[in-house]
Amino acid sequence: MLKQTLKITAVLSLAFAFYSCKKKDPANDPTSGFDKLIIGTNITTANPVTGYVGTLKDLSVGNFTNSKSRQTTEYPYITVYKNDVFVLPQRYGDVVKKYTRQEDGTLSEAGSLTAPAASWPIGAVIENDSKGYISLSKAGKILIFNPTTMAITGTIDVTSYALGGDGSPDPNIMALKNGKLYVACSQTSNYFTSSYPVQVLIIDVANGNTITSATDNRSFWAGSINEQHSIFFDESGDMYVYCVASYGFGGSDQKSGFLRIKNGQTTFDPSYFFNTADYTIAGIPGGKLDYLQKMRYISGGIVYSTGNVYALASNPPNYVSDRTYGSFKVDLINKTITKLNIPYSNGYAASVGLFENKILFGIAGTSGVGIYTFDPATNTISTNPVITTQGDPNVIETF
Amino acid sequence: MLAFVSVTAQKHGILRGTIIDAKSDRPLQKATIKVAGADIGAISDDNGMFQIKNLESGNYIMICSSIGYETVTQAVHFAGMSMDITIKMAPVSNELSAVNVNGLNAEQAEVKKTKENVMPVTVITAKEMENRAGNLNEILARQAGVQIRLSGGLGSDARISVRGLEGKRVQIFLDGNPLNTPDGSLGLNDLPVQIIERIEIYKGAVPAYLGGDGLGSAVNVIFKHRDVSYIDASISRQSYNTQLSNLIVKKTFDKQGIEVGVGVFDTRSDNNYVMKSPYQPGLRIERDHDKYHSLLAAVAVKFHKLWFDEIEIEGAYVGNRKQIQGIQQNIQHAETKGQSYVGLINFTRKNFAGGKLGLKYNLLLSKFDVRFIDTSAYSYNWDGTRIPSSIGKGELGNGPNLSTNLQRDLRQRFNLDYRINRDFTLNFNNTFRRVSSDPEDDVGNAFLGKNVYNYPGSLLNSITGLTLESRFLDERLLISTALKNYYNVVDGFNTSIYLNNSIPDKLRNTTNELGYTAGLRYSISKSFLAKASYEKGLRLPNNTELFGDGVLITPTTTLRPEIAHNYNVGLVFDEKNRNNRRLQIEANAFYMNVDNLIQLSGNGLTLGYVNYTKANIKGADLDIKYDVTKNVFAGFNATYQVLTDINRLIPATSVPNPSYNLQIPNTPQLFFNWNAEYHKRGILGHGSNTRLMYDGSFVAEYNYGFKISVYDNFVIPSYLTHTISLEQSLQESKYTITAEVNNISGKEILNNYNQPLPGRTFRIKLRMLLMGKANHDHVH
Repeated sequence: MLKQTLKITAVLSLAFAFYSCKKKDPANDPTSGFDKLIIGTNITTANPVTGYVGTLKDLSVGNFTNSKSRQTTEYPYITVYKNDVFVLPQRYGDVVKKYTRQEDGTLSEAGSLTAPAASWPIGAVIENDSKGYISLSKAGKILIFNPTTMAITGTIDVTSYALGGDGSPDPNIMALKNGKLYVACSQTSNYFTSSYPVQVLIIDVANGNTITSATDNRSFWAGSINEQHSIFFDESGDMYVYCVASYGFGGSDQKSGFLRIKNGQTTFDPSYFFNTADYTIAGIPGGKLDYLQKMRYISGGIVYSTGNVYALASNPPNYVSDRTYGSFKVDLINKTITKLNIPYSNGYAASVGLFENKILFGIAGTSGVGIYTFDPATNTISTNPVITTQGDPNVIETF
Repeated sequence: MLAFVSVTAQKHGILRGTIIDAKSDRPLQKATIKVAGADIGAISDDNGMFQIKNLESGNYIMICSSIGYETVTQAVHFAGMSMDITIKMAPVSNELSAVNVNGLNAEQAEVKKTKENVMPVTVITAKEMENRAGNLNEILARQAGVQIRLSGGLGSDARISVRGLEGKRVQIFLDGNPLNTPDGSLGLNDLPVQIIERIEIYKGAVPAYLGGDGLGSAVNVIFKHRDVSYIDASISRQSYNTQLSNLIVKKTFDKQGIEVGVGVFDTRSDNNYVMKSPYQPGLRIERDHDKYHSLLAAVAVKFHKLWFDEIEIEGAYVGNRKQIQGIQQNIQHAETKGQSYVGLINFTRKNFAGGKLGLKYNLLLSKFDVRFIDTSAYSYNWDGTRIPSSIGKGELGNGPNLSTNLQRDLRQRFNLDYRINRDFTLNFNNTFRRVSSDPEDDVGNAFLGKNVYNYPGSLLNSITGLTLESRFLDERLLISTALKNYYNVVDGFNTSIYLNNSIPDKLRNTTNELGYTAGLRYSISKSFLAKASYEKGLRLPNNTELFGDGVLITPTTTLRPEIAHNYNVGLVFDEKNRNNRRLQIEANAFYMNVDNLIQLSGNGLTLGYVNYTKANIKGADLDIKYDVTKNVFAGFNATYQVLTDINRLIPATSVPNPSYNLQIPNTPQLFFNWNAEYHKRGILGHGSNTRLMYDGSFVAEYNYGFKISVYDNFVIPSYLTHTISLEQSLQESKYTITAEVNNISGKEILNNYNQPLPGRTFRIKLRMLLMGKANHDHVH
């Protein structure tokens, strides 16, 4: 019965999601025939690990190679806006590059901007053709830039919001709605753990960049720093942020989970916290997740995600054979997590995407590396990758 | 020295001879003449004459030595009855290029012997480097098959790469003893060039008598030894406020057979060259936090008149301090400091038990104290302004560290040579090490809120080699086979922060493996050799690889040794023509199959070392040296090598490896070096020597990542450099001045990704070498 209910909910949710997307008329669409997917991969078979960003026509391709991809530093962070792909080097560089998709399946270089030295450009949000934001995690600043010209037009300094009194609250992923920029902060107290409350800065970018700091001590470390989609809005305009609780480094006292700021509010909703750390999940060793890694909100309170199953890790870790990241369906309203029958992945992949009517999971498993699909309408999962990828897929985005 | 004799008959007789000064033709009294490999010899009388009675007929190598003269080795075919020979000995010259007139001096004989071994080997002699103003890394990087991967100026991290394998995969030996400083605090480049007699670079196979672990390549540095009192002082000034000051004083007490030597070597540099920022387009940065200072001081006493031919007691101190230069970020305070104390005793007995045995034993005790300081509460912008550190303290981004790592090292080497008969020699070698490591970082621990750094570790390592050398066909064929046992026990703690356990578990990793070598050398003619060799080499995982860094690099205690199977074939041609012009050509081809290569890997959150890559390496190198005229010498070498990933599947999966059959990145593939030298004696008066030298190098572009996309742009660009050096010595090298311009064109060079190296560098070096009076009473 529960299964049936979930299935109906999923179908309705997707129906809502797809209804809200405007259908393009291929005859009038200048990008008709262009690749529709962006794949970010890591080549992990050598040290140093290098990353690639390339495009893919659709799920019929079968085999994705990086022969025409753009090389990046490892673990590329990507933001897509219209036909443009913004690649952020995070800690490994200062130059943010913009590529534009081309009809021949390539990405052409379309501009770049240089962030301040060692500032760690980590997240980007585009408001419109002339205004976007890039978070500089280490510098404690938000760059305002023109995504068309890639000119830096301003800076928002958030250093004074550092909870520990150091130089930066470590702004990372961001989301924008109604003139408000929500910035998740991942300030650590000792580099890899945070003992500070969850913090989201709400910047009124439409009205003089005034900043409000919202904090909550039910969890730690706002946002999965390599997942732009771990801060998002539901259909009501409520903001959700996933808190990783120091990625498990903080011990069992730190609880990962979802927190919410209701539409129009500037404080966390005290009535809502989905503690994902303590939730027992059927079908995984140990029954627990210590954090969710990548995710995608669909609608109706449904998030598809990957997450780390700590019980699958060897002690000490075996970096050759360990595959600890599972795939899950998360219900924010009913506060449930369901394991999907997709192979476990390593953390260099474990990505989530949405394309047409399917949820895409980028998996680097022991029997396949590539993109697996889950069809919520039919509740079916591909048994093998529908697309094999050259390298571990860590980003799946859609134009 | 061990080249024994080929006895062809059993007749006996008297070998007589006269030893004379090659320069004055006067007889040399009290010179010692010995038959190599036998305990037979004589001392010349007042007329320079000697006789060796009751000598069996046969082919002999005679070794003639006398204080103040170059040792001479000379082949003699003694037919029996009686025979008269004349041996001319050249006085020791301050100019070490001086050669004797009748044969090879002892050093040349050693070089010849090394080159005639079964392994591919490049030998760099003192003559090629001692007066150069450049450093050892530059000299090594000009050899076939060798690259030095630098990260900055003087004192920066440098990894030697031989045949594409780097770092710890290449063994470093000092006088046959593995260097292996646990923390890398003493590198090859810290060694002053004038104390080096020669450098042997083994490529693809390493003699088992050297001990140590590695994947088939090694650098063995042989230190210089002079039998006379002398003072060798030099000072070198270079660009970027670099100064090298070296002083060696040695006094011999010939009657007592004692030598006392002291050496002090001071190196300091600001390394303040301007670099183009690889991260900020258009930004040029003067490196202002890259100062380096090292001080090496050593005192040694040698005894020659005891049962051992030589007992040496030596104490050394090495201190260094190195600032850390930022490239992406302006670092202003982080630095490392190290102090090392070494005590050493060597025993050498070349011939005993009727000339059948030779013994070397040494015992070394050392203490390394390495500190890492990174406690700044500020981060710095390139314009000099500062902001509070984003993590509170520490510029390098991992939190503050104020660490001390105390490592104590006890090691010994026992080497016994047994000459079974004229055709067979057996060598037994054992190196034993016991290393304890005691790190401490209370500041780092306080920041992390738990103890992750203060855990001791230890290493017990014993490597034993047994080598049989067999000579056939009147020594034209040399076959060498060796067996090597590697025993290694490493103890440490599982300090992974991810475990959240308050008391980490003790862990142990044990290795007990066999390696072996086989090779042959065949002398097609006197000038033409063919070589072939095979080696199974092992490189043992070290403490860092096994136990991580206590923070994000987690322990991997199941690591297995890296294994290499190396196959080499080579041809060596070395001949002097009628005009005394020497032509040397060496060509090698090699195939190496390496497995279990250890690399840093991760799971997306933490990192650790894994046995991952399986590769083959194919390549060839060519080295040509030629005396074009009496005064002009030219050389050229070329290396081509391809490392290929041969893992068909991603390890531990059934998934095709995305980089299968691709060239392994970050490895130079094609490089050339060439040089020309004009030398002439007497231009500035009697006893003067002038050398004008040019060196060129080219390294072709290579990829930083696998070459996968047509748009790949992470490359280490090709570079072409030129170096000119003028060396003028006076009064038989008593005084030498050298001027050098390195990288004349000021070309921007990188041989590590995003790590710019110095541009044009000017150097001037003054050297004074005062030799004491030879005392002919001193014999050993």
